[in-house]
Amino acid sequence: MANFAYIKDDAVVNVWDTLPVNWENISNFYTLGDGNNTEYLKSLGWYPITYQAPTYDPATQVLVHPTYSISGDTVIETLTVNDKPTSTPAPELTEEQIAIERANQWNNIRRQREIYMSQMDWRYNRYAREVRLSLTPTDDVAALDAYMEALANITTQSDPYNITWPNL
Amino acid sequence: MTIQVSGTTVVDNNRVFFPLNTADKQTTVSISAGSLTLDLNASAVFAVSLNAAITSITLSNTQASGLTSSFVLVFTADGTARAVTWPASFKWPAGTAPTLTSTLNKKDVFVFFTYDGGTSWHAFTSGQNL
Repeated sequence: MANFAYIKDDAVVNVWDTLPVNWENISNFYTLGDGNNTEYLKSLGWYPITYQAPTYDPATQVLVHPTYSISGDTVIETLTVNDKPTSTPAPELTEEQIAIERANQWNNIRRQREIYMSQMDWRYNRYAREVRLSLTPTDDVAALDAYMEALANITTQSDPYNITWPNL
Repeated sequence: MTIQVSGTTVVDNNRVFFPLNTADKQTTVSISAGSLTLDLNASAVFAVSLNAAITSITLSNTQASGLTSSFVLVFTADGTARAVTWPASFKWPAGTAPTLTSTLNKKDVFVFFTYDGGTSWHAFTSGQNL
């Protein structure tokens, strides 16, 4: 919010939050903004700005576009009340676009399934080695098979956007 | 024509010679109710304790147009930033008055001259925060 207005020829030339450091033929001009030189500032064309708070609902409205008017020896800042812009809804997809997006999502699911399956290779290899060497297998191969079977059947689920992945 | 003062030639063949090392006095001037008055007959160097804002500067005894008047103004800061309203006839570089030093006892030195009887004074910052 601006605090000072410079008036020339009965019009607000510019508004400032703080006085400029130097102005025209005055050094250290900013020091005159201490509240003790109001009349002198007015004689130079610098007026304090009074903020006129409009009534508005912050939840649905915003204050924009300050305007300045001269009233006697005061400049009044008035803000315009505008309604907050509502977000534009995304355009609806056609049936064809929906089908394409769904097919792409199933492809994503399949790629992810391949990754999960390949991550089991080393465990099958370990199981086979342990059996060859007559060692007690570390993994329950039936559980591995069930996990792989569940992954293989992943595409039988109905919603590619809400997949329930199996656990080993 | 030759004129000598105390054995020193000051006018010779209608030429005026200025001594290279002039003896001039510095005059201390006080700010009174925001006003500063500088009498150019009193001195060419004015020392001012900048202990109040200056809203008016008055010059007296400026030479007539066609002759040159000049003076030096030395502000000594009192530790507080003070505003100084220079006369509109003072023409600063780029049209804006300089920022003044506020550090206690530091000096700002300014030089002014006019050749049109004071209608326009060329104003220069000679040194600051000295």
